[in-house]
Amino acid sequence: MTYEEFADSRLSALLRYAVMLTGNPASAQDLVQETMVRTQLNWHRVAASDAPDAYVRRILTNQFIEQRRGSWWRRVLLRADPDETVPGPADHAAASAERDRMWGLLARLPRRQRAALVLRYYEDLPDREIAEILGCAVGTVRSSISRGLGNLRAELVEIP
Amino acid sequence: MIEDELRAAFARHEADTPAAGPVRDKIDSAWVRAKRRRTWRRTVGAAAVVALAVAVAPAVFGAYRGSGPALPVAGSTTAPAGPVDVLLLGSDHRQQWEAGHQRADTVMLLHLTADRKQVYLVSLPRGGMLPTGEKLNETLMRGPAVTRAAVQALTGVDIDATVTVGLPALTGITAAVGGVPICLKQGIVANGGRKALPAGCQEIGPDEVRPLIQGRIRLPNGSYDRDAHNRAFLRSLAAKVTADGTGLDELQALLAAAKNGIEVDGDTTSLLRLAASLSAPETIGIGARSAAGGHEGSRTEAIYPEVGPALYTAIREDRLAEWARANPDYVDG
Repeated sequence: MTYEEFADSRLSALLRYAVMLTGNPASAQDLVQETMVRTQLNWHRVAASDAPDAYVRRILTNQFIEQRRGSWWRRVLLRADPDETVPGPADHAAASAERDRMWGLLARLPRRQRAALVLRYYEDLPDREIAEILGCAVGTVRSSISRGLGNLRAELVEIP
Repeated sequence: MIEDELRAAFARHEADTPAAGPVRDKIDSAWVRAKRRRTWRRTVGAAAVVALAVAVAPAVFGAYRGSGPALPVAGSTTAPAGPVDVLLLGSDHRQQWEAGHQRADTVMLLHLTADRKQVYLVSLPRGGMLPTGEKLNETLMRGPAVTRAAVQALTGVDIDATVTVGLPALTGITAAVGGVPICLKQGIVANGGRKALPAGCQEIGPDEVRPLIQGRIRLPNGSYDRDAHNRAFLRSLAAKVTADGTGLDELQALLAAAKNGIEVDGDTTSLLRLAASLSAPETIGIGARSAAGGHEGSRTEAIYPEVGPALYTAIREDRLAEWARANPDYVDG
C-alpha cells in the first residue's frame, strides 16, 4: 500500500476519531495533520506493519495523550469557545443542552480514559485492540473504561 | 444506560468532522516542509561523522574496517588530496534547525593539513563585524550557507564543507565515549538553567556538556573564553576517541549519537573517505584571547584585526605551522 492509498481510504475515519478524542474540529484537524506528517516520515515502518491503520491510530492516540498543558493543541482547546463545538444536526434547542452535557463531561476526563471510552464506544474495538493502541495491558484498559464511566456517571448524577 | 448516552453523543458529533479534502491539502504542504527539513538533515546523515570527522573519525573507521559492518559509504569518490577546510558551526538554538531562528555561538574553521598530520581549530569571534556591516553570528539566521559564504569572503579560504552541530549530538557523543576530561582555568557560573562548573581539571559527562559549551557569563573574556573551552573540548574529545581502549561498542554508540544532531553540507562521501584514511592527527587550537577593536558585543568588535590577513593566507597556503610559531599568543597551550 502506498501512503496515498492509505490517506485516500483512511483520512476521513481518522478525522472522525480525532474529533471524538479532542472534542472539536480544529484540534482534530491539527492532530490528524501532525499524525499524517509523522506517518509519512515513517512510512516504510507503517507499511511493513501487520495493520497500518492500527499503527497510525496508535501514533495519533499517543500524540493526543502525551500533549501536555501549553502545547499547541491544548492551547487551542483552552481558548476554544464552547460555541466552537458545532452542534450536531440532530440537535434541537430543548434537547441539545442536556445532550451536550455529555460532550462537556467527556472533555473533563483524563485523556487516557477518554481515549479508552472512544475506542470502546465509538470505534467498538475489543479490549485487546484497545490495549495495543494505548500501549498498555488489557486490565488497564478495563479499569480506564470503568473509571471513565464512573466519572461520567458521578457528574451526571451531581447536576440533575 | 450511560454507555448508550455515550454512543449517542459520539454519533451526534460525527457531524463535526472536518471534510477530508482540505485537510489532505494541508497535510501535503506540511509534509513538503517536513521533507525539506529531513533531506537537509540526511544529506548529512552519514557524514555526521564528519563533524568530528577530522578529529574523531579515524578510530571509528579503523574499528569498522576491522570487525564491524561495512562502511556506510557509496560511490567511488576518492578522498580529497591537499588541505581540507571545514566550517564548524554551533547553533545557539541548538534544537531549532530552521533558518531564521538560529545564531551561531561557535564559528570555527577546521583546517586539515595536506600531510594529514595536523588539524587546526581556528575560532572566529562570533560577535566580530564583517565588512558587510553584519555581525558574524547574525549570518546564521539566514542559514548555514550564508555564514559559509561570509567566512569564505572574509578569509578567502575555499571551504570544503559546513558542519552544523547541535547540543544533543555533542551530549550523545560525550555519553558514548564515557566522558571527556578537561581543565578549566576559571570556573563557569550557573546560568540560564545550566549548572556551574568548578575551576580545575574534571570529567565532562553528558550533564556537563551544555554548561561547558554554552557558558560565557562572567568569564573574564566572555565568548572568547567560551571559544577556548569549545576548542579544548573538541581536542580532548578527539584524543579520547583516538586513544587506545575506546571499544567498538562505544564507537558505534558515538556514530549513532552523531548522526542525529549534526548536519553537513558538502561532499560527504569524499569526506568520509578522508576521515577513514586519517590516523590520529595532532590537534591545535587557535583563537584570539579577548575582544579587539571594541568591547565584546559592540558594533566595532573586530575579527583578527591585526593578524587576520596573515592568518588567512597561512590557512589558504597550508602554512599554519609556520604562522603558529610566529604568533604563539594565539595558540592554545
